[in-house]
Amino acid sequence: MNEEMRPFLQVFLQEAHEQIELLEQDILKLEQEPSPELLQEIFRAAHTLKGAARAMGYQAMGELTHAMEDLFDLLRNRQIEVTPELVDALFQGLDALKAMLGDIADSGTTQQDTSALTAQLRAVARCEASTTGAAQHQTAEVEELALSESTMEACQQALATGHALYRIDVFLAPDSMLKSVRALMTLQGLETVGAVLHTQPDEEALENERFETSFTALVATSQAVERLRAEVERISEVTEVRIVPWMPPTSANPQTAAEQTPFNEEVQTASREEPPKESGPRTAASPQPQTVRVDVNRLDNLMNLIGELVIDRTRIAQLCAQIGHQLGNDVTVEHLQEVAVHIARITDQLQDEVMKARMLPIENVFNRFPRMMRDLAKRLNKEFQFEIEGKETELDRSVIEAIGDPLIHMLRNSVDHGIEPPEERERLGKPRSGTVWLRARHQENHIVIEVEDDGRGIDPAKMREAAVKKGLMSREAAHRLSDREAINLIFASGFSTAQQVSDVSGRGVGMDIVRSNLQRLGATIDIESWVGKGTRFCIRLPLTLAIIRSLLVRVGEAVYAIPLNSVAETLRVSPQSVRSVRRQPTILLRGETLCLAHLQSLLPVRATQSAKALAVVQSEPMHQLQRKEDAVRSTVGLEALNVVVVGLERERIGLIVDGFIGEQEIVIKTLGKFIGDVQGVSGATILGDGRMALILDVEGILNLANHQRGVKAHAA
Amino acid sequence: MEGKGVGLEGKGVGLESVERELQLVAFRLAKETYGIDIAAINEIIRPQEVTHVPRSTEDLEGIINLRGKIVPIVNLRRRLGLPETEGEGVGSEEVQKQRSALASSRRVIVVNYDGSLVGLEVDSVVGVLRLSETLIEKPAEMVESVDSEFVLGVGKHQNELIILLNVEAVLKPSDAAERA
Repeated sequence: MNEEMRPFLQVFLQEAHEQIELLEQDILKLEQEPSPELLQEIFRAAHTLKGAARAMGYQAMGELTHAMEDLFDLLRNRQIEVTPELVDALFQGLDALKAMLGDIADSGTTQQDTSALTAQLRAVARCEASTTGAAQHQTAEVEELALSESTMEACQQALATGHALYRIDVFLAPDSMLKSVRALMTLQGLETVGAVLHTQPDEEALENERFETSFTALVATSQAVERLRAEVERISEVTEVRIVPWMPPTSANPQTAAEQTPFNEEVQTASREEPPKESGPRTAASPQPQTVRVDVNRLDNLMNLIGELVIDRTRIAQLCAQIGHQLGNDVTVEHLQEVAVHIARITDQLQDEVMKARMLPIENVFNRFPRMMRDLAKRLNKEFQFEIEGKETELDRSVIEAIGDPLIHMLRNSVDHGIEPPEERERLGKPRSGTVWLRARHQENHIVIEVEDDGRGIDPAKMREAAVKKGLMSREAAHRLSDREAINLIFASGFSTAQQVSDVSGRGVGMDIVRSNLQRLGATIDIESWVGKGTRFCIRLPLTLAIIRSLLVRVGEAVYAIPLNSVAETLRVSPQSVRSVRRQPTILLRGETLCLAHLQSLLPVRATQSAKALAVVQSEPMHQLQRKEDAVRSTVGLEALNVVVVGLERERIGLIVDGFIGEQEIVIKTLGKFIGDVQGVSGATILGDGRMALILDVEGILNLANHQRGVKAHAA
Repeated sequence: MEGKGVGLEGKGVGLESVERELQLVAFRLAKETYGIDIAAINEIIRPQEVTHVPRSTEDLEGIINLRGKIVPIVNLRRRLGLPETEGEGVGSEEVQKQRSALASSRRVIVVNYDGSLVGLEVDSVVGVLRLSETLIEKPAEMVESVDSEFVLGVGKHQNELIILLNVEAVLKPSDAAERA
């Protein structure tokens, strides 16, 4: 690397990554709909990348990018066509570039040998160009002009005002040393006779000599065509001039029909793309949204500070209330309360704004997928469409980073295990090409992401069989599982019904890790499946990880915070309605059984603290309840029990607590590395009065309860 | 007899034979005097009400709120395997009683560990001392009470023995389960 450029290394890496991502997405689109605007964008990206790589002193990278740039140039000059082989070569180039960036990020230099790849790209460029180049000089069909909408309008206007349109193809001497000069002089000459509406390649390319020996101009003029010819032929080194009258094509942008290709098609059902940006040298640059690059750490710091404010805001409210009680109707107190209310409002807005600042459209994650799906389709010989919906849905940055891997896993699963091979699909009477959907949308306080396929579906019978075979459960237990439960076995660790372990979706540990990782984020995952028809995974994510709404409950002296999105409802249960099922207290809630458990027994508090707790919770057996059969000790009490029903999608439990405090927005703080993972506790928060409350991890609580139940059942 | 790299976090270990001094905070615990390199110490605070963390290791008293940060509090006695509060029975109940009785002298030394803060409960803090390196010896047989891997050395100061603690080793989680 160029040592004096070292300070720019970070920026270079960031921008290079962006350009490469852009190129990857655009090249994919290119396969479907090569449009001039797209080609322009692609060319610009490659051009920028080349310049940056060279400036930083990375020669090999510059060479490789240059070769790709040449290819793009040929593409946009319509001298070569987009073919799958070409696209493959380009992707290889991009992969090599990514690898190089990886090296550079690690060590500042890269030793990758890309000379072979570079040569190959150049060869592709040359041979494709020469095959179509030969066709170019034939007088019969001339290549079409790729015009933007605005240019089209200009053409229409010109015609409407009595001008004639001519297409002028100019050929320069092959050995011309001053091609760009000649080209520009030609254009200038034409300008004196009429208006040059369009050139191919564009002016920038002409200036930089990015063209072989010919170029084309579209001119509107009210003067005689001979004058045009005269102007062009005046320029030395012009070997041939072809002028034909030109009419704009009658139809608007020809839409490429949706083809059934082995790969994919991106369908935007939710929102349309913005209108194509203006292209061509004569149109002004489209207005860019004003943005500022902000270091993610800064946003995180902002978030932390806001978190502190949120805590203090609650404290101020409490203190105000206290003061109000003490001083009564004091004018000063009123003023204070007004200010407190205002502060609260502003803090809310600040929180909102910072959260939004940290939000990114989920397309940042989704964008990696089309390419991956394309590669998978090829590798596994599957045919399917890949449809993405709702990619403009915004998520907090931290969440976005975390869901990438789970989604990749699920998408791979869909292709590997879900979608059947094309022949099988035909045999089954299904359309040969399957579909995989990836959808994202807002739903209240959540983001919902769905991964769906119309493949085989998950067969409960096979799942039961596999569970027994793997020794996960006995045959009787497997038999007792409902279909839904059988399907959910996919989340059990050590489970994989794949005949071979393919490196595509990995081993059977996949889905259980996916689920636990998601649950660590406070997200839930649910699965629906229909045999022979398909499978749908549904992930529900919180909007942000840092601040959540919670329900505060009391157990003895301790306060616990339960994430509200895990709280189904709160109940007061009379002890009479508590039954004992296999030694576990349960109640009947709207027809379904609900197990109960004392939160205090799941999360035992230390002796001193629990002393009082025990006194409250474990009342001695009292009269009216003695009559109850199997009154389990923990549920015997005088008064109604306070129960919080918590649960993930399918599994629920009623936690018995001493009292409800109320709903509150809390800032999640982790327990820290030192303490590490504590089952049942996902973090802590600081309450308005400065005390701390532990935040419950509902999945952990459920596991603890299940374990406790298992232990009890054993003892039975 | 110079100690090798005695707890000099942050200080470059030079090769000159210049006599170097160790600055440390000395504290009393279970009737003995210990020292921790001052570079590892963030602050010293009075004990606060600790929120217990269920299902955690025995030597974790719980967590406190330190100006908005969550700081775990370690019962250093238990961690070092020292006898519980002399004379009475075991159990945190006792420790709590003792604490309220000797509230004035007990302190929590908040140290930096692996990028975060951890609080260590001690009986009392003696003060900041300077010890010349020459006065520090390897523990060998001298220190029985504490596991030798926790001890960087033993220093002499005004006729007292100060056991230099290796905070990193003390707080390393790997042995926590055994000690619990």
